[in-house]
Parts: sequence; structure tokens; C-alpha cells
Amino acid sequence: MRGESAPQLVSSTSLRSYPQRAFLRRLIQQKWLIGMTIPAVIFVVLFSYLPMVGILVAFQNYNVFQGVFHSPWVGFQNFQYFFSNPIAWQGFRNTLVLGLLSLLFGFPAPIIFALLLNELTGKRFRKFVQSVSYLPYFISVVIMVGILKDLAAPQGLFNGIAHWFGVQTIQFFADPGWFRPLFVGSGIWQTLGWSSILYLAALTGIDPELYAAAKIDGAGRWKQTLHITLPGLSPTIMILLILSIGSILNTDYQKVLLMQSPSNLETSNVIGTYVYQVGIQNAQFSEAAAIGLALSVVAFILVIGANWAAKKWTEQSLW
Amino acid sequence: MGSSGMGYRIFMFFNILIMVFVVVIMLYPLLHVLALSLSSNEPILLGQVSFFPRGLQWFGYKTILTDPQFWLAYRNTIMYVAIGVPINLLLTSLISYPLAMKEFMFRKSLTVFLVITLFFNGGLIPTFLVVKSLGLLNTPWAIVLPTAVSAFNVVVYRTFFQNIPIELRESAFVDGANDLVILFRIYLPLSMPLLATFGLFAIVGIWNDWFDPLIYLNNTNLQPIALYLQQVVDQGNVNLLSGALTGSDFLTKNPVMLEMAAIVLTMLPVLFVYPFVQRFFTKGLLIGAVKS
Repeated sequence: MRGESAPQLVSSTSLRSYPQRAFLRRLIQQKWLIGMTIPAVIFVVLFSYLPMVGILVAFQNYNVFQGVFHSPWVGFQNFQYFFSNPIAWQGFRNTLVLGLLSLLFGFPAPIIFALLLNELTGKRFRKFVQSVSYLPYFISVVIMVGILKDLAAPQGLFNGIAHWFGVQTIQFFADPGWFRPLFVGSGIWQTLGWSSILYLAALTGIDPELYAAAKIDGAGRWKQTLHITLPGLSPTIMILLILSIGSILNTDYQKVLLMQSPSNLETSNVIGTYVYQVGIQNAQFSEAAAIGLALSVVAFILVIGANWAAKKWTEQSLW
Repeated sequence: MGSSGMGYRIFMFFNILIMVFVVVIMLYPLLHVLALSLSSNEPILLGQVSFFPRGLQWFGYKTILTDPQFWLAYRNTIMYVAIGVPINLLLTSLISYPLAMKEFMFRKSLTVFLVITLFFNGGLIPTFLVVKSLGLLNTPWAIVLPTAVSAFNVVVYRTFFQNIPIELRESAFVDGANDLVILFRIYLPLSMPLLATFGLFAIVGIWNDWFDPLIYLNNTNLQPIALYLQQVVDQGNVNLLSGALTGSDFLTKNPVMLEMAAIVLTMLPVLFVYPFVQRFFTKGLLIGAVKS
């Protein structure tokens, strides 16, 4: 009944002259819809928006007993602490290098994988490879690092390969030079299949008639890939590239924390783990929040910059 | 013509070879862990274990399965899943339904309100301080509540609900039902694939969650299985080991056995639900939503 009578109410002349009353009437009409959103809205306010306000502690000398609203303001003092701190600078450099390496190797890998998978003619084999490649994504980071440590142990697989090439036993987790390859490599292991899903979806979206037409024109497999498949994929590639560039600085610090050892800190000290150490372990909340905020600001500039560049050169953009 | 040439056949040969290689790389670490957990000390130390266990032993499993802390952690994780997943599904369904309705007056503003959280967040420290000031530290709620509503999930649910014929809702109105009843009687029963997928994702998420318990729970009686596992893997769990090993045992036992047994026991439930999860996401449920 309510659904049917609603349009009549809205169109009556008395409402047009009283917009507030019309608003109230809609409010009452949609009370169920509005009520349904309230629990989730409360959650989002508490756990997403309140922390955004809480970032103010970066400009305070935060004190647990006085809270965000009564702690003394100190302006940019906490940021000076950050900029004058060599360990923080090292963390920033490492964060950037790790992000760039992950992008350089981790970004093309799923594209190549999706293209190769797409060429497979046996449907069953293809499905099998796909299912197996998604699996590592569901393995927890604790298990993954645990397995990695075992493979990198003196009697593990990696050293087995090293010995085979005549190289002496390597202490992978104690060597700062090996932290980055291990991090990036295990990242690819975990996300290769999962990240290829979007590309595979884009590949199935390419019009088959284009291939048929190309075949008539005498184009071989390679030419078809070059002139039909890649252009068909490029919008997806561009969007995901912008997103990845924007998240270069969002290191998976949980994994870094698990892979850290006192002897590889030179490369494994990243902003994320430093914030954890300063903020959670040492309870210096304001300093840690300032470091986190400084990184977020740089990350935000990166997203804007990547989007601007993409818009300018390729006419693809997020907004 | 071009597709049956020599060059193409060579390419296909190498392509299949590469794919087999990928499959081996993806599966090897998991099979290796299983093999190690069942192998005896000497083959482990000599690095002879690869795909298959050598010199079968059950010491790792026996030790872990008789550790009361293991069972406590397992029970805690199951409890967090049992509390967290229903909250997650319920709240997400509740807010997604109005957002799927064209006439809803706050549709635009609420969408913006949610999408903002995809791009901005307070970061680790402010979130920690909020959880702390709400008095949630050292309670199961610290694990369950902060991640209960995700804007990404809401977008997927909303898209799914929009594809349910609106006539069903309209005829239910005629029968005198309100939107809450319509959601539970009509929409949710029609959304079982959606709820199953996101339910399984939520289970795996809580199951694998290690960092939140690390910072929010100091009480070992509350620690979940992921945190227990991290301690076994990281420190070789000295207490557990010294309790289980006596005298000459050091010649035949190895902490690796404990670590690998703990990994297998933690991984098992996730591997068990995996086929169900992956059946759904290959159907393109998620992809359609991501595109929009």
C-alpha cells in the first residue's frame, strides 16, 4: 500500500510549497530504510572516521590520561622529531625502495601470467592451473613467513640450489642484501594468481569477432596478441597501475615485521614497522602518529600525481 | 594458418612447461611443510626432505596436540569467527539494502560517506587509540568490531541486491511487509551465493589475522591460533620444547617438527574451505562488482 500511495503524496501541490514538510514526510516514509543503515553507520564513524580525527594527536603531546581533547598542542614538533631522525629517514628510504621493487616485479607478473594462461587450449588444465595459483593468497602471512624461513634455512631448498651452483651456505635472513628479494619474491608467490583474476576477466570481455577478423586478414597468433589482446587489456592495466603507484608506500609491514631480524634492519626497517615500534611498543603515540601521517601525505601526493600523469598521457584515470 | 605453424607449437610447448612450473612452485612449499612435519630428525638435518616424508614420526603432532595452549588458541579463534562473521554479514546486508533502492533519500550522501573510507584512514596509531579508549583492549571485540563493516563489501552487496527484480519488493509491500522483513524474507534467501562467499572470506580473514591480536590482546588466554603459531615458529617455543624434550631426545627430535606440525594444523581448515571459496569467485561474482 505504502509503495503505491507514495508518488501521489509527493506530487500534491501542498508539498511543493512546504519543502521542509516534504522532507519530513520522506523521512517518515523511509524510516525502515534509514533505520537499517544506522548500525553500520555507527561502526564506520567509530572505526573509520574517529581515527581520522584522532590523527590530531600527531600535533599534540598526547597523554593517555588527558586524551585527544585535553592533551597539550605542540604544533609540528613531532614532525621535526621525524625529520631529524636518521632511523626514520632510513625507514622512509627502505619503504620507497621496497615499494618500487614490488611494483617493478610484482606488477607485470600477473599480466604475463594471465596472457600465458589465456593461450592454453586445454580447458581442464587451464582451470587447474588457475585454481592452484589462487591458493597461496589464502595462506596467512605467519604461515608464509614460517615456510619461507624453512626454505631459506641452511639445510633448506634455497641453499640446496646455491650449493648446486657451487655457492657456499647463505644466511638468507641475517643478510640485509637478501631481505628485498625474499620479500618481493614471496609477495609474487602469494598474489600472482589472485591479481590475474581481473586481467583474465578483461580478456574474456574482448570481442571474439576481432580475432576472427584478424585471422581473415592473415594475422598470426603473435600479431593478434600485439594488436588485439594488449589494447583490449590496456584500460585495466592503466587503472591497476595508477592504484599500484598510489600504494607504493603502503608496505605490507606485517610481513616485514615477521621477516625482520636485528641483522637485516639495514634494509628491513620500514616506516610501517617503525611506527609499530615507536607507537605500540614504546607507547610514544604522538611521534608515531606524526610519522604515519607524514607517510600518508606523501602517499596521497603519489596517487594524485599518478592519476594526473595517466590522464595526460593515456586518457585513463580514476576520476 | 598462423596458429598451426612451427613457431606456435614451440611456444605452446614452453607455455605448458611454464604453467607446470608455476603449479609446482605454488604447491611445493605446502607439500614440503607436510613432508617435514612427518619426517624424522636425520633427513631433516641433511636436507633430504622434499615432497615426501622420510622416516615417519608423529612427535610434532603429538606435542602440539597435547599442548593445552594450542586448544585454547584454537577455541578462541573459533569463538572470534562465531562472533565476528555474523556481525559482519548482518551489518553489511542491513546497510547495503537501502543503498540498492533508487528512491532512498540518503543514497548519494551515504555512498560518498562510505567511499571516503576506501581512500582515507586514520592509520595504525589513531585506530589503536580509538579501540583503546572504547575500552576494547583485551576483549574479543577488539578483533571483531573494527573490521566488521568494509566499504568494499558494501559496494559488492549493493550491486548484487540491485540485480534482484524490484517487483518482488513491490508485491511484498502490497502484502503489508516492511523493508526489514523484505530483506530477511526475500533478499537474503536469494543472496545465498553472496553471503556464502563473503562469509567464507570473513572466516579466512579472522582465521589468518595475526597483527590485530598482537597489538590488541596482551592476555595469553585470549590469544588466537595465528598468534600461537607465530610464537611456535618464531621462538621455536622454548617452553613447549623444553617440556617435550628430555635428555637424549635432542638427537632424534627437532623444533622444525613442532613448527611444521603447528603450521599444518593451522592451515588445514583454510585449505578445507578453499575449494568452496574459489568455486564462487571464479563465477565472476566479485569481478562484476569490482568493475562497477
